[in-house]
Amino acid sequence: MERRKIMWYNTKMRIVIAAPFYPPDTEDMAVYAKELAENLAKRHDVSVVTYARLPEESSGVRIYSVNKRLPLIFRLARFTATLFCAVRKADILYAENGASVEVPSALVALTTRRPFIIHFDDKTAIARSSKNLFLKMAQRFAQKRAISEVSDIPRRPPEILPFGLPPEKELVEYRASWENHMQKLTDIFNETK
Amino acid sequence: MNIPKENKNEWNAYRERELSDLLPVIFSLGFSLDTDQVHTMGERFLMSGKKLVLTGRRISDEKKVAIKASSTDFGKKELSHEHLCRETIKKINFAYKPILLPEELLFAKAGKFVVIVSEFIEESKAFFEHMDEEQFFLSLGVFKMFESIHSTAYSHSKIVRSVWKNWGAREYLGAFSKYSMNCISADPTLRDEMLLAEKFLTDNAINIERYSDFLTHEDFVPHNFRVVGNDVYLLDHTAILFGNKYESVARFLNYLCLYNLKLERWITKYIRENRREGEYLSLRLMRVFKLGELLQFYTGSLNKTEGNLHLLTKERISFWKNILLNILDDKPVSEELVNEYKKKRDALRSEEEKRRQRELHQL
Repeated sequence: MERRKIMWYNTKMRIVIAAPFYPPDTEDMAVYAKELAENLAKRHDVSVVTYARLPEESSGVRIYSVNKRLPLIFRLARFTATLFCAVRKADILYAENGASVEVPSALVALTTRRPFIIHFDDKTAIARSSKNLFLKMAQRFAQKRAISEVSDIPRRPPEILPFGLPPEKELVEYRASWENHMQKLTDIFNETK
Repeated sequence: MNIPKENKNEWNAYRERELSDLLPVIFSLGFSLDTDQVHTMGERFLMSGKKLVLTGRRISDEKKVAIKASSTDFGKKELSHEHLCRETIKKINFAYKPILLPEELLFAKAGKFVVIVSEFIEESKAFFEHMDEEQFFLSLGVFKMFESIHSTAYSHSKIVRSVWKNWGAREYLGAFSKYSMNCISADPTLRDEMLLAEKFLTDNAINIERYSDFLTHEDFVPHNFRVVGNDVYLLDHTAILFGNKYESVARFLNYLCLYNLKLERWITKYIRENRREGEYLSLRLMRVFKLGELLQFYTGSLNKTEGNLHLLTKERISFWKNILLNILDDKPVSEELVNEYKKKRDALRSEEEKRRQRELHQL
């Protein structure tokens, strides 16, 4: 484990994150995608491909956005093409679940032969795909292409209220949950080498 | 100073005429009007829109109701739009949290009037009677509810565009430019501040655009919502639009400068410490925008007022100009400044207006 950890820290990888949401979207997944990108960017070359009109910027992270206002077919096609261009030169594709990202990610992984990891974060999307045959097939297709599935979800940052004591305990737990999450990803990423 | 009196007299004449024509219409629809209608008094004549906001009862069960009515084209259009907004809000399928509205009991086109009768939401206590912590959580809850409605997709924008205003940087900057011109022409001493504010907005146009497409309320102040338990009901649906995420927060914080400075500081601190840097900047940008709107309103009132109300309007312009400078410099609003202004305001306000303000829970 220690040896692998060293390898992770010493090797700069090119990672592409495919995310259906990204801030200013307020969904938990959007917050997660940005935080993950910023954490990974401390040591790696990180790109994010996402559906957004004007995503928030992060230092050290390249963001490619596809406007959600496009009709479905066009936005899926554009997302797939953008993702393909980004993944071609990358070492790893890390995608959030949800049909609008799963299908393009699996297709891109198939054509570029890059290792593809899927993160099951969006519980609403999971619930939706259990009821819809097309979405279920999309999810299975993505799962088949993925070399690994991640279901770990780190905590959201605790709210700091302007009165009362600061949430020290929750802050410690939040930081620890991210450390654990990054460690899990380290192990998975190293296995792709 | 003939103009001011004409303005107030014109409103009073309109109110009397409209009320006498409306009374039998309301009765035929199964409702009665209360004798005292405070929402039509005081400084109401300075506000735009020829429509009456009244209180009354449903004859069948004595249930208290809020009645909005108008016979003018503008007022009728506004009321029909309010009805449409209410109907569409129920259909928004991309909301994570529901928006609470008082139940609409009647929407009718009767005679020359358009009338909306809705349930009167009784509060056990007014917003400012709650403890500061409760006020904080109640307002935060509403802001989170607004934020949860983000129109990003193709299907969302189709619903939004058909009903609401959809504002981005271009619209905010265009509107502010008009505010700025109107303010400067009515009161040239505001020139430097307005130009500085306009530059601040223009330099950060991308930030305004980035945090747009959220459901927001352009007049989110306590007299436009009612608190029942932990729920907050929105009253003025015509003020709903899709725009910058922080427009409603900005309006509320500017308002709090006068009515609860501690809460204003808490919410500002909360956003600075819990949201991203760009979001805090967006809040400041929107506060500046809303202050421009307010200054335009008061400078526009200068030629409609006389006597004490005219002096009060001048005091208001000076006060809000100082708040604008505070926001531009990112400095907290000074308590001394607020207290000094309040003293002057209370000395200059008419008894009728004080009564109207009490009814609006502002005093």
